[in-house]
Amino acid sequence: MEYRILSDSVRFQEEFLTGLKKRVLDQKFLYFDENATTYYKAIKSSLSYTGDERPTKDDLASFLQTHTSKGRRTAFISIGCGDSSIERYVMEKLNADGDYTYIAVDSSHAMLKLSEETLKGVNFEVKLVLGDFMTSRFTRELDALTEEYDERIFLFYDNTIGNLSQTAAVDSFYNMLKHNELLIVEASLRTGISKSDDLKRFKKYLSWLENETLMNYLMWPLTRIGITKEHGKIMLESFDAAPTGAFGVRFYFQMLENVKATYRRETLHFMKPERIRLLDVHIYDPERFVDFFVDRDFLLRDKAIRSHRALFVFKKQ
Amino acid sequence: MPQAVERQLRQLFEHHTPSEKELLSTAIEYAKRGHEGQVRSSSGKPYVIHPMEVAVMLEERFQDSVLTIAALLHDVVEDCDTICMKEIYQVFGNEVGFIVDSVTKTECTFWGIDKECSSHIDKLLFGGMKDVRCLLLKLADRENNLQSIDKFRDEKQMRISFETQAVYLPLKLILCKDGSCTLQDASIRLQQVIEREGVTTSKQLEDLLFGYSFTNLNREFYHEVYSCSHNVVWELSDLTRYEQLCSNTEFCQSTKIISIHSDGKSFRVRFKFQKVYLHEGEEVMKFKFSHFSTA
Repeated sequence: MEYRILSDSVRFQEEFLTGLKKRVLDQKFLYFDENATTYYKAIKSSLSYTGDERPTKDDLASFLQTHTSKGRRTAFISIGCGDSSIERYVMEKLNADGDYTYIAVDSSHAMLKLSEETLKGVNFEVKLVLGDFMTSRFTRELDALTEEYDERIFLFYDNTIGNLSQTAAVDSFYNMLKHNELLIVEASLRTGISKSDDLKRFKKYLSWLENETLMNYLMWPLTRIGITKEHGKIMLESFDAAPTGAFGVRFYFQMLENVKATYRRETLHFMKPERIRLLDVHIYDPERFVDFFVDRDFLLRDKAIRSHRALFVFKKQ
Repeated sequence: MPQAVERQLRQLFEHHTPSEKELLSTAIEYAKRGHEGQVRSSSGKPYVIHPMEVAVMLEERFQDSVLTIAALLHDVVEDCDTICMKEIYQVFGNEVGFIVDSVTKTECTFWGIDKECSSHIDKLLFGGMKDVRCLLLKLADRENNLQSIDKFRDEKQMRISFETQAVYLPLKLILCKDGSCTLQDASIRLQQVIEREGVTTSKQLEDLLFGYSFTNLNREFYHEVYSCSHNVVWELSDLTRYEQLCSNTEFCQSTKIISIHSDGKSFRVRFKFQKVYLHEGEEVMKFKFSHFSTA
């Protein structure tokens, strides 16, 4: 299994420090070290996940079979691959009749270790890449890594797009993909656009606050610098994400005590009642979600919509 | 048109005494004179239809000649430069005069009474505590105005809606619990509430009324909120009540949610009204003022 490092830990730590100073933490900082494993224990068993009706692994495999060509060397690139469990299943189906390489990309070394475990003994080629897809360095290095492939197809799964800056994510994909390349995105959907529907979704995420494991998962970046649950409380707030027609929920930590923390030899003063943003979740209106991509020069090629989640296949124009 | 409403009113008034019918005719003439050439901005119809419709409404409900006549005259002093409050008292008597005076907003004082009120609501409630008919007239006036509220500009709709929710719906709840009542019922209910709540002044009654629908509204605050009704962000902190409102189509269509907020124990939803919404009934919502929005 080939392992490539396209990001450096110093830059990662600097970004974390900047986030702490701004009091806005990118979702990738939730997956430091053992929190990657905690994610799988916590999130995957939570009500906001298990209750969701979503496209299946076979739906994903079907898309890949439909939209890739036999007889061509194809790189199947999963951005934010996590433990690659879905991707292993899909690759084993695909590789029966194709020449595919699986490229697992994540900004978390811990997640790539989990992927490595998942992918032990598979009969297809695997490359593990530690990198941040939002950087232009990553785009250049990925191009070099995949230059011998006839085609590439990208996967952005598990509503990871819902945790990021929307414009940053889509602009990054636009610049990463070549003309006519495909991006498969999984997004969480609003089941309705009523206040009642939004309140139900809000309450599902509110149940996280009663779950010790989920609370620890959310607090992880702060506990690394000595801020604990005793210094404040985790809150949930909705927000209106107008460009994508999304209903947004945001977890943040509200300081109830003053804490002086140190990171990379810098001192940070966290004062009450400051708020530190921990995680955003966007839940989309499917039509507005597609429009958001189309407005940025993507074309919708295919979709599989279930009540809570959908897979969309976009082609870069 | 006016003639049809006038005919209806005269027919309803048939059972009254000749002197009362004569006074009704005089009031009709005063109303026509006072509102000559005026039209309702909401409908474009002759303005005099409004006091006549209010008079019809009150005559149907209460058959009280003083109240019906006061209804005909209730906007005359405000809208006509040549008819003054003194004339109303002198021509129609002290009872009619007092009721008309209590609902007239041009002055915060009563003619012939040494009483300075802080606002037109204070004046109305002062009058109402002495004669419940002042309140019944105002409720009927507001009811008639609400029928065409959608013709007003959004900002005016919001102001009227807010004032109705703050003052008039709670009054209606007190006076006419099941939607209908006699004069005597209304008077008794008002007295019972006044005694039970220990209200001795019109200002205390005002605060009591505000408290039906709002948790943090007082008289000083009320006027600020009233003038900026379309920019107010409201809060509800009861999740169960908010869930109930979410299944109310009218509420959903009238509001824009700003945010929902919780720490797992407490809950808060902030929203703005974008259209008229009036929450009636005993299950009050206890809206709380949050802040003025600049957006």
